[in-house]
Amino acid sequence: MRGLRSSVVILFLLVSAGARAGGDAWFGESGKLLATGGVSQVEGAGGGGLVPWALITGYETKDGVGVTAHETYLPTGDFTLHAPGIAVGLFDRVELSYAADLFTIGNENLAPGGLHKGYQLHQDVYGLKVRVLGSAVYDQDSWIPQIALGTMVKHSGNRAIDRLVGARSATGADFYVAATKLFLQYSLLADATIRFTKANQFGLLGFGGSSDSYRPHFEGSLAHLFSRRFALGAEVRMKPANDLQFAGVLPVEREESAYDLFAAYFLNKNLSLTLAYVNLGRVADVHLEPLGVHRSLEPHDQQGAYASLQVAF
Amino acid sequence: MISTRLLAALLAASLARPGLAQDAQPIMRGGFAYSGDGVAPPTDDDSLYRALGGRDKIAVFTRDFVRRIAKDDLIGYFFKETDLDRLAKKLTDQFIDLSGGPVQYRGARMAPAHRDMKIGEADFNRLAENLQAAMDQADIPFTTQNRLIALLAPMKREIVK
Repeated sequence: MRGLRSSVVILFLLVSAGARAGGDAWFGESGKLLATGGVSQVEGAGGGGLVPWALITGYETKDGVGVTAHETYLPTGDFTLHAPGIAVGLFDRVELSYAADLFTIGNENLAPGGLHKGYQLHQDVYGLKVRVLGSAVYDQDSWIPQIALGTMVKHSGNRAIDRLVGARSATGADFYVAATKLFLQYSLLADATIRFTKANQFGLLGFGGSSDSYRPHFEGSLAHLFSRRFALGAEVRMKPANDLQFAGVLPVEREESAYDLFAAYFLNKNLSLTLAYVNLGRVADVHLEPLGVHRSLEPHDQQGAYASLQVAF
Repeated sequence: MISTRLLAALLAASLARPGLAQDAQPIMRGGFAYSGDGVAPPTDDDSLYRALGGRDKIAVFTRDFVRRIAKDDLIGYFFKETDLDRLAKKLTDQFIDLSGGPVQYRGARMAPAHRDMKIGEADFNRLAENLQAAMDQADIPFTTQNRLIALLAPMKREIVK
């Protein structure tokens, strides 16, 4: 499945490499200003690296349809996250997205449960976002941001691990409201997103635990535009801390906020590259002390370099 | 954790609407009605006018801008019947006025001047890209360009069909 999905993404990359959209065509119309579609976040929505923004992906205006494909890669010390995806922006109003989050375990932390190095967790994320009011770019004479409502429906392919950590469900949905504003006179872009979720580690470890209710969590991005092509920014994403228990007995370290520092480079309206330092906090650190085992490694944050390539056409 | 909370607080503060009056009065400047609820052309601050290089430099990049849009593959046809010298002069006045300089724009209002022209959002953006190119050519820094474009961007609602 992973190979198939990757192939699809690569195919889109190849097709788009030769695609130079005409100004009149409604499909692949590229009338939006450079960088104003954002990049692709880890669950496939238009946004920053971790946070979905109110911007609709792609370079279409209200008169067209735009498509983006992306490939994101994040190796931390103990895990590797690989996230290909595709998104469609309709008339700068509606965004549909799909991403596969593939998370490969690179240590023996979860080995007591049979999850050895090389085991792959994955989830499919289907996203829908609707811009409800405002324009982040044009409404410069107003403090009202662009606001969008969105949902991400996530299906984990790992029922075994969901049960293993005590998650209530392998399938879940997040709901969010995103507010994004370009403060052009300061060359700053700011986003604040409130997400209602009960996902454990983005949903890779299922949904819910000892607590199983939707709670709001803050996510935010702030970026400074240094040129039309280049932006530097930071993001934070708070996450639920559902108490999980590994195999019903071993407490799992509470989930922490993730954050990143990113640099995005927009070569043109067809290609952008985002590089980032990402810290996901502690991920699936299991306390082995109840078994009388002293950990050989101290629990530590999962951090690493993040690279994401987005192609728009 | 402390740093992430700080960042969150900064973000929340940046999105707050400082001193927003619900009954803000529109401000007519440069032939356009600014909402009065956010960025508006300065009245007693000519820092943007000076950053753009003053009257002469504004006139130079505006002439270059008009030359670019007139021969643009995608939007050039809008200007087939246009007196380009007059357009350049009116736009120069408008940019000086909006940036806080010593000229009052006395040209057409944006809404009636563009009515029935069937200008699309992509056309409007294409025009903005040409202005950016002209300002690049005049060595105007990106952040200064953005201060002027912030004053022009809202005009989309009176110009685009």
